[in-house]
Amino acid sequence: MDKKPVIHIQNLRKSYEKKEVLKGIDLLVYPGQIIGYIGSNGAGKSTTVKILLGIINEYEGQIEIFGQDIRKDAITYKKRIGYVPENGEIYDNLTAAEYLAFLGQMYDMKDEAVERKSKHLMKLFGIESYYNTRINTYSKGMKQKLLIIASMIHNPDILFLDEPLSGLDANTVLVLKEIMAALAKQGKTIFYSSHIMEVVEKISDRILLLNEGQIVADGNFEELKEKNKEGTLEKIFNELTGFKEHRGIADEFVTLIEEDEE
Amino acid sequence: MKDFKSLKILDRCKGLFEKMGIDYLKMRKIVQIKLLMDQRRVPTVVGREKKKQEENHFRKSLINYGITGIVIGMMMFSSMSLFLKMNMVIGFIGFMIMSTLISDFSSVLLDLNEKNILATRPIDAKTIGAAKAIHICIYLFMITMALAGPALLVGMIENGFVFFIVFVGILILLLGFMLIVTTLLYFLILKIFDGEKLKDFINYFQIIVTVVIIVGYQLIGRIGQCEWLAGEIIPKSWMYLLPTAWFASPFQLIFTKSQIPFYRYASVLSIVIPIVTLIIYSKCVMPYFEKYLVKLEQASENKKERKSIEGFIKNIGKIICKDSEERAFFIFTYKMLGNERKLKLKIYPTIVMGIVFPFIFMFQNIFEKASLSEGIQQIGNSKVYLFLYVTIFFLGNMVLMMYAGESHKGSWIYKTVPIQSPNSALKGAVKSFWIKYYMPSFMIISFICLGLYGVKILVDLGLMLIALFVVMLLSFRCAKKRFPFSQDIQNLQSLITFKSTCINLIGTGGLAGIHFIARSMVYGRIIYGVGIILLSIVLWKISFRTTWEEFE
Repeated sequence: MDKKPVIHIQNLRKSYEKKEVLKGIDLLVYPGQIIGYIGSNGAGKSTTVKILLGIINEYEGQIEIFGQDIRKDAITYKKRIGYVPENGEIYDNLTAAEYLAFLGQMYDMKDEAVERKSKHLMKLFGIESYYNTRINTYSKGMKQKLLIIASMIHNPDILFLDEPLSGLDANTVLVLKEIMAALAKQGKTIFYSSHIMEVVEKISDRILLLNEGQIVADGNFEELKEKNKEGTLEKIFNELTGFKEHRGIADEFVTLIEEDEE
Repeated sequence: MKDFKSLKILDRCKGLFEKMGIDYLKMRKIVQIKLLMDQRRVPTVVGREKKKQEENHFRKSLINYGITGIVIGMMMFSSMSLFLKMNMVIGFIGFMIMSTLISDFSSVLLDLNEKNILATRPIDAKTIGAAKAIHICIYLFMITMALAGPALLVGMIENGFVFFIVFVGILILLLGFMLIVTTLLYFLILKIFDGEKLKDFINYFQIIVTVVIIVGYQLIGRIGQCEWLAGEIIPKSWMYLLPTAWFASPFQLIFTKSQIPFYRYASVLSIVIPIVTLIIYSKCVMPYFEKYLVKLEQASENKKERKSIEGFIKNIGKIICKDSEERAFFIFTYKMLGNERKLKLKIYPTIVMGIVFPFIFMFQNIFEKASLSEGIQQIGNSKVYLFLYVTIFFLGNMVLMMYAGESHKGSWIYKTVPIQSPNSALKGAVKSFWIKYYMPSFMIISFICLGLYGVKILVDLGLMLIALFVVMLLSFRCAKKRFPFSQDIQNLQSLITFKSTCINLIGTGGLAGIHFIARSMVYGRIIYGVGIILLSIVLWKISFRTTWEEFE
């Protein structure tokens, strides 16, 4: 690739009280990539993303985003990134209007522009009539839509999406997939982590599989398929994370359910 | 799982329930779970939340109610006339019961989870209904016993067994009445407004309860010694509107053999009104309640924006904030402060305590006077308004509360947006807190004081306002700097450290002393004024020099 990398990670390590969660991650990410970032629970996915976002500040190794060391300048790059958190944490006793206005001011956007943009974006998601409603009354899907809007309102160049589809209906999922594809085409980078392998398989043009703090697979789906001789990402995932007991556990599970009460 | 004594007593009626077609074992299990959950819910009266998990919050609140009950019981000893006394006793018990119904038991009365969890299992509606009724009865019984037990005991010792029986009867009517009124209130609010309004309403009520309990303790003890309340009361016709008067009248009727017709009619009301409300409730409310209950979970569509207030805050922000980041935090903090219900539950009682306590100290001797007006007159002539430094002490470290919030998990947002300097964020937040809570609180006291003392104390009020600002900054300085609303409200107590309380106390005490001395000197207040203004400017300048490293 001839372009400069937007994210450059060298030997990233992180430990929580002696337990090493990230054991040396090296990664180059280029503009226009949709990266599926997968791994089993506790593999270190969220930790990586949180370090990249600056939510966790202590780590070993070198991270450059947009060519800048994020340790040296922890602020400037944040103008160009967006984030959708996994569990939908948000200051939910504000209204969407208030929350988005606050964010807009943080990104030095004009109040009017934020209002016009966010109203329109909410309209596209069909939730414009809740613009002045407190977020804590939203349903899960509505909140997710708002979080997606909030992550993109400032036109970021890198998006970190953590389970962005959770709670969304099938139609919105379709819309979001199109949005991601269009953004990538414009040269934006999307860092997508999820547990739903089918989705990752379809939308990503590069898949990173993290296991026990290390990247164990890196490439597009075709490449992974060839290397591992498995048909689906799910199978590859099982294979690479060394998980073979699924049949046994399921059988035992079913036997237990069917067991007669004495 | 833990078994409850109340359930063991209930077991004796097993046959009765089964005859009614209720699956007793299932009902028992449901009630057991509900009682268990009661123990884990942190009630308003307990207030201070600790980290321990397995604490029995319900028992703790019962002890609290028991203490209130003893205070109420002591009122029974006072020299007031029986009618007035019973009015106050019943009023206090009724208020306490209603307040627990609204503040803590609302989650039971307005339970939506129940539908999701129980209605999907094979349990018939009758059993669920019975479980709910039994649960409410047990809950109310325990709380009423804690609250009214001592008063019942004192009443029986003083007036005999018949008094006890009448009191119990009245309490049952009172309980029924309160329960229905509370539910009716919920129903009306849900019908007219939406779920959010109801939550707001519950929040305001919780605030009122906390305040009344704090102030009530201060007043009840003193009312007993109050001479101008001891005389016999002549009932007026407006008293028909007082629910406490209905429930207190039977006592007057039975035990003083009073011939005044008021007591006879009011006694009739005490029986008729609970029955009428019960009929209204079962005919007009109960069938529809469920339907409106769903509103609690629904998001309501756009409310009208209050443009005028919106613009007002923005304009203030433009005037007092230097850069756009500071302004953004100013507006953000202002909005959050207005909406954080749990935070309000901590802030408002602090404010009210700050406003009320100096006056309680000032009015100390008013109860010993022959009349209310004489007492007030005497206050107007004294210099006790320096007691307002008590307010300053109470409000001083309130600013630290802005670090806590219900949705503290949303604070990841600060890390992902490009905030240039933590100081402008903090400046905006502190200014916002000052405008939103400090200024209005001080305005209220100032108006009361101006009413009592006249304009001659205007200068002193001005000086005290600056003193409040200084003490707030002192408290702010000595605590760890954080982003607003980034800490769990459960740990609020740990945010207001011992150190900040000490500094607050020393600062307030010192300034009060200087103010007192300054008043006795010729140009004293001018010197004090210049000094304190300079101090506040210097403090403001040095308070916002936090680096990212010190910032958590």
